[in-house]
Formats: sequence, structure tokens, C-alpha cells
Amino acid sequence: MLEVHKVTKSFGRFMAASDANLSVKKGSIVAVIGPNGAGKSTLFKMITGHLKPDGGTISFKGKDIGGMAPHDITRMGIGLAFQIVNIFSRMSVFENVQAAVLANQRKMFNIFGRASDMVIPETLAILESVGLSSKADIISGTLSHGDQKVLEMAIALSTRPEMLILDEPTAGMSPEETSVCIDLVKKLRTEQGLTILFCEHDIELVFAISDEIMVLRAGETIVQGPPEQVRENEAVQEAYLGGGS
Amino acid sequence: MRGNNLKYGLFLAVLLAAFALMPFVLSRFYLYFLGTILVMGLLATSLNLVLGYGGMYQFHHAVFYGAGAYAFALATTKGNWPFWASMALAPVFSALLGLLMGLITVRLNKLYFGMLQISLGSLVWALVYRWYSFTGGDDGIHGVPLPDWLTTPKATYYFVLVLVTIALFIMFRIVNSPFGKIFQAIRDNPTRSEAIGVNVARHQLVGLIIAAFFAGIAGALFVVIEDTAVPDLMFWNLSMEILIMCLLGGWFSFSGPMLGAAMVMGLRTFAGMFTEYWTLILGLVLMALIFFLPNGIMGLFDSKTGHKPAPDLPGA
Repeated sequence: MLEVHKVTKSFGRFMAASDANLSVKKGSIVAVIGPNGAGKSTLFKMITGHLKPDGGTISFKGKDIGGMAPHDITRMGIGLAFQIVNIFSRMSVFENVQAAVLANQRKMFNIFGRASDMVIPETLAILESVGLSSKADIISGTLSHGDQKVLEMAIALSTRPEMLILDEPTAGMSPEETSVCIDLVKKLRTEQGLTILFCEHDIELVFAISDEIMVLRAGETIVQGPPEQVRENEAVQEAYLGGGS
Repeated sequence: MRGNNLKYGLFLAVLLAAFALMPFVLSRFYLYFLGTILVMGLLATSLNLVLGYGGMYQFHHAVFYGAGAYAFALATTKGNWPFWASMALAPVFSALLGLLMGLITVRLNKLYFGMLQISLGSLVWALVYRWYSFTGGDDGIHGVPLPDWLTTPKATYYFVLVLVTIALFIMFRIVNSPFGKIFQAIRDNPTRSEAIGVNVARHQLVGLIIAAFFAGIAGALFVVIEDTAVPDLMFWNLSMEILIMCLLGGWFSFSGPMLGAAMVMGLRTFAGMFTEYWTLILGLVLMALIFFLPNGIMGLFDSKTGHKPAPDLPGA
């Protein structure tokens, strides 16, 4: 579904990505791991259109998306949940999701309809699927951090993505919130057939839920494969997992 | 919810009826004064469309007001256009100017957007100010002919009242439409808006054009009241004044700017009778406001009635 081939990106003389390769099959959960500064964020930003790659190709469903604008990439079916919470903090939880549904249905230039009466069932269904129904009327900026991250995911889901990108979904979450979040990710895959690409510092979590893991080091892909294969890979152990243990 | 709507509807009906009865109560001067408040309030509300709802630092909105006034005045005097045609031209011309300026400015970041708006607006002002053969230069255009039925103070007032009411109603619909909601979403978080598939720059451009359109109506109404178009209408001074009206009345509420307009104009007229330093009082009021009511007068009203929460959140 998503193919990243030999992508490079440099900031001045610093090579943030020198040979990044990634392949994501439809319906799978794929994680990208690597030490700090390995270029995970840079890679994700190139996939979502926030950065333009210097070289190589990024294709989604067979179409080259390298360098496309973020809103166009979203419309192609890639939903994004940011690492740092990025919500519409003055709006209620309901309105946050509703805005995204309206945008997804291309209703953004409807200037006379009453927005408050629109796409209510769709919005409620999404809130239900992530478990935020009871908090629909709360101003989103006042939610707990964990709930804000869930809302972040709900907004991403509202764009009806085929692939969901989660940038460190559990960062800053308590253990309970983390397990809720993991269950949610698994549920999304099984119930909605979503393809999920994420990066995460919590290695145990990564090995527990991923179908495939890609390891990035200094902007270069070392290996991509199923968890067992990655665990046994010597280069990975050396670079990342702290020697054979 | 429905009950609330009914209450608001009733309140508005009473308010409108009160405004409609004003010509039978007020003297000629106060009727004129009320008309100018309505026009200024319409202008401030149109600014707030981009400022409060779009989060765009539109620092020179008066340009579109002046453009509307001049379009109306010039079409009537130089082009001998019929009244309604000139009236229709004003907002369209302002909207086109908005499109032109927006194409240049809209991609810029907040503050740079505001700075460039000021420069471009000042350019338009300078053009109007110096182009004696066409715009009348700093003399402006006086004695713009109006149809006979629109020459009495009463008729003028009713005409203004009807058009302002219609314009406000349409703007209210826009603010609450999907377009308006997405506009507010962009205000809260442009990055997130992109990632839900919104073309932020295009949305802001359309918002600016709509705001310019309504400012153009206000501009034409000014000429209807005063028979005059002068370069001062698009001087940056006025832009700052309507910005203050929005802040004073509450830029997160729809009716705030109208209230702010009434306050600033009232202050100018009545405090101005006693001292020419009325702006000193305005300055003090503004300082007090920033300290005690960051969401403006309507913000206070809303929080007291629990109507619409507008929390002042960091990072918004």
C-alpha cells in the first residue's frame, strides 16, 4: 500500500534520511523504531507532506505522493495523529470530530448550511468507536492528556483514512492510558481493516502489536521484517537493542 | 436547545422592533448617529469574521470599506449608474480587491500577513489620496446623488437598518455554516486543519473575500448616510479603530463588534463634547479591558449566562 524507496533528505549538511526504505502492506500494523535522531520524524513528515524529500520515491496506492501538499495527501487516504497533541482546543470534542468529518465530505465551502445539524450520526459513530461519547460536549482543551491523544486519533479517523499514521501514540500516557490506546489500535485494525503505521519508543509495545518492524539508524533502513526476525538481527541488536541479550 | 433558540429569536424580534420604532422617538441627530453606529458595527462585524473567527490578523480592513464607498460614489457620479447597480457594485468591487490582496498575503504567517495588509492597504489609500482626476484626491467626492425616496433622515435610517440586518443575518449563517466551522478550526490549529484535508490558504482567501464583501456594503451605506466618500475611510487609523471595537465588544462572539462599535462611537460623541482628549478615556477603558476582560464585554456576558464557553486556553 505504501512504498518508500531510497528516500533522502538533508538539512544543510546534516543527512536526516540517507537511504530510508519502507513497505507497508494493506491491513498490517507496521512500526518504525530507531534511536533518537535516527530520522523517524523526518520520514513520517515526508510521508504526510510536511517535508519534501530530496530524492527517492514515496508512493501510496501506486501513486507518487512525494512532495504533495499535506491536505492532498490526507484526501488520498492517509490519516495522521500527531505526536504532540494537535486538536482544536477551543472547540468541544464533538465539534473537533465534526469539523474533520465535514472536511472529509468536502463540505468546507458550504457557506449557508447549519453546521450544527450536519453529519451528526457520522460524528457520534466515530466518538463511539474510540470511547469518547460521554465526553462529547467538553471543550477539548480541558481534557486529560490521554483523552486528548485519543481525540487526536478520532480526528485522524474522521478523515476516513485507509492508512493511519500514529506518531508516538502513547508518548506521555500513563500505563492505563497506554493499554487503552493499544486496545484501540488493535480494534481499529480488526474492525475497520485499517492499515497502521506508527513509531514508538516503547519497545515492548512495538514487539507486542506489530506485524512488521522497520529499524532506522542514522537515516538508513537497517532491516524490515516480522518481530522475531528483527529481534534476531545482529545489526539491530548492536545498534539498538544494546547487544545480544 | 430549541427553547433557547426560541428565546433568542424573541429577543431579536423585540430588538428589531425597538430599532424600527426609533425614528418616532429620536431626534434627527440621534437617528443619524444610530445609523452611523449600525454601519460601523457592520464594518466591525465583517472584520471580526476574519479576525475572531478566522484568527487572521487583518490590520487594515478599512481599505475594503473605503473601496466600497468609492465604488458606489464613483459609479453614481462618474458612471451615472442607477442606484441599485452602484449599490451592488460596492461589495463586489471590495470582494475583488480582497481577492487581489488576499492572493498576495494569505500564504504569509500571522504577523507578516497583518504587516503586508497594512502596506498594501496604505498603497490603495495613497492611490486614492493622490489621484485627483478620478477620485478627487484628498478632497474626496461630495454630493453623491441619491434617489428621491432616500433623501429624508427617516428613509436613510430604515434603508441602513434593513441592509445591515440582512447582512448580519447572512454573516451569522456563514459563521455557523460548515465553512465557518472549518474557518474556526483553522484559527485554532492550522496544522491540524491541513491534516484533515483542508486547503488552509484557499479557505483563508475565501474568508477574506467574504469579509471584504460585507465591508463593501458598509462602505456604500456610509455614502448613503453622508453623501460623501473621502480617503479617510480607508486610512489605517480607522482600521485600528474597528480593531479596538472588536476587542472591546468581544472578538469571540458574533454580536461583540456591534456592541464595541456602539461603545467607541458613543464615547467619541459624548465624551468628545466635554474634552477633545476622548481617546485618553478610550485608552484607559482598553487597558482595563485587557486586564480584566480579555474576551471583551460579550465574553463576560457569555460566561455569566453560560451561553457559549470561550476559555482562554494557552497554545490555542
